[in-house]
Amino acid sequence: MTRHAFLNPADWSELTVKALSFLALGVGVSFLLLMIVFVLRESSLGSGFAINLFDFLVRHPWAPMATPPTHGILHAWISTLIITGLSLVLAIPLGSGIGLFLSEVAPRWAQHVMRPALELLAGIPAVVYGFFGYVTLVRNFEKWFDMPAGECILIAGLILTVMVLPFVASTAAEAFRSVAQDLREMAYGFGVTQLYITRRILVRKALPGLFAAVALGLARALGETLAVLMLAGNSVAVPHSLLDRGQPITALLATELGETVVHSAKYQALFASGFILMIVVLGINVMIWIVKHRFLEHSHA
Amino acid sequence: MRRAMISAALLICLTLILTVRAQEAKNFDGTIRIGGSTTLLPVIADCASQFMEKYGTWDKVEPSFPKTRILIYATGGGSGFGIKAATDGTVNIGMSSRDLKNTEKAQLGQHKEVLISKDCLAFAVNKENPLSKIDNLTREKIAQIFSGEAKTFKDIDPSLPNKPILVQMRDAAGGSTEIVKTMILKEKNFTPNAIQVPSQGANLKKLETNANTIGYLSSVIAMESSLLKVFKYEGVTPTNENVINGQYQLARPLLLLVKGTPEPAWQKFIDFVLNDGQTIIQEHGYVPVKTLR
Repeated sequence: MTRHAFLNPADWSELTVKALSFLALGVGVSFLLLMIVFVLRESSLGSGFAINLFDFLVRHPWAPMATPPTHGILHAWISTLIITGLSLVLAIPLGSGIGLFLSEVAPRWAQHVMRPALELLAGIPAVVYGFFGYVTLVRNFEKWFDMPAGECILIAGLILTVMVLPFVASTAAEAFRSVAQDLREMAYGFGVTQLYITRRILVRKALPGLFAAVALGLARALGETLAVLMLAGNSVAVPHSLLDRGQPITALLATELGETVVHSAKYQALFASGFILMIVVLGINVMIWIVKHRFLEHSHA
Repeated sequence: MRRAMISAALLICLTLILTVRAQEAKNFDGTIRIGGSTTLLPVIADCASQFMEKYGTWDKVEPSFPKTRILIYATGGGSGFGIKAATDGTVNIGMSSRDLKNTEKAQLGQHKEVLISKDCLAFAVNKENPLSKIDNLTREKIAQIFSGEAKTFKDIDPSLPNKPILVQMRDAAGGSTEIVKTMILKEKNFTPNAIQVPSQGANLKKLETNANTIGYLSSVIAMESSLLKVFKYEGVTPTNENVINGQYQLARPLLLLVKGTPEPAWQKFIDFVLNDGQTIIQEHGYVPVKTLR
């Protein structure tokens, strides 16, 4: 066969497919790399960044219209941190619970209802979530807490929880499901309760997968823009409580980038904050990848 | 014999005219390129699509025009880009939402500047807002509110309740925000507690549903809403008339620019914007100029 390698048409087609696949892979990867390079270059973080990095991250307020204008993103990353943190604190226990229920407890018919429901929940556009939050939570918060305006980072966090939940839940369900069946049967053989199995076997064995669920939820929460833009209030003051308004990094970018003068200090500041966000999300994805790999090795062993 | 000569002369004239026309047609391929201000972009894009829909081919606009399909491209890029692109010929018609600087006029040389509309902003509150008892707001009062110096309604008028005023602003990139900064706040800054509303629609909705906020929005949209109380600014009501004659000052011009003299076809489109287009302009919330024409 090797003798006729260059003559055999079947080999040729295989070679072509291989080459094309590699090309596609190359294009995909280079897109990612070029994007990082582009954002880095536009931000001029490497050289010529007009703002002192400490001022940028911590000290200066965001006041692009002031004289002189200052561009600090303290309010943005604190808002991102609080909103994302809040949504994960709520979504992880809830999502893992749903995952556990789906893979271990739910009867078949319930699974058939819940899984498409989760997928549907994941497919709803962000603007719909934002609008939903706006007409329900924002209005009622104004009444309940006697706030002048209902928008606050708590609402953004709550709605983000609902948005992240399907991702966490289905990844968690996957993690529980892939724990080897023998382990369960063995445990049942010893006559232990289902609660014991869940606590001592499932959760431990599925831990890397659950971690992936967390990371996936985190990446999703960090990148979400529209819903938090609509609900967080989009104020540039640093939030001090959950009922304060805030402006996460994504909302800052969406609000400001549209008409910014190219290569101005503000433009650099926006790209720099985008770069920070991208690096964080990328780091999380690499973590998912590593954890998943370890997870696969585990279940094969 | 004489008749033959006359007809021959006519024929020659006709041929000459036709060749000239043909050459003109060669220069003009049926396409108009427009670019610049993102404020004007949706308006002009709407005008262009209505123009193309109404006529289809250029000969329907004017019989002497070639029988080619009308194509009008409109792109954004900002006012600065619009002026520059009109200067160097990247676009046939530039859009600007501010007056031209003298340096820009010098670079442009001989040109035509057409005022098609004015973007005017009005300050408004919900009719249930305590401030709605007041009729007129001065520049100083608005500056106090929007810089955060006046925190409660009481700070504006002692007879009003001691409740916090909430400031609502369009995103800093929007043109209206620039007007507020340069004409009202001046050296002061927007309070960081202001809610930044991402769109014109959300801006109106928030004002109509919340009794604690004060905001600014297109005067045309504000005057149409039955739920809003629109303030006089320095004693002048933001009616279209007051905007056009310049008495109401919180406005900026929306301009179309052509370097040199516009081609007949471009002129036809500009005329369209000044006639049928005025309705579109009003629908988008800008003040039409036609009333005074």
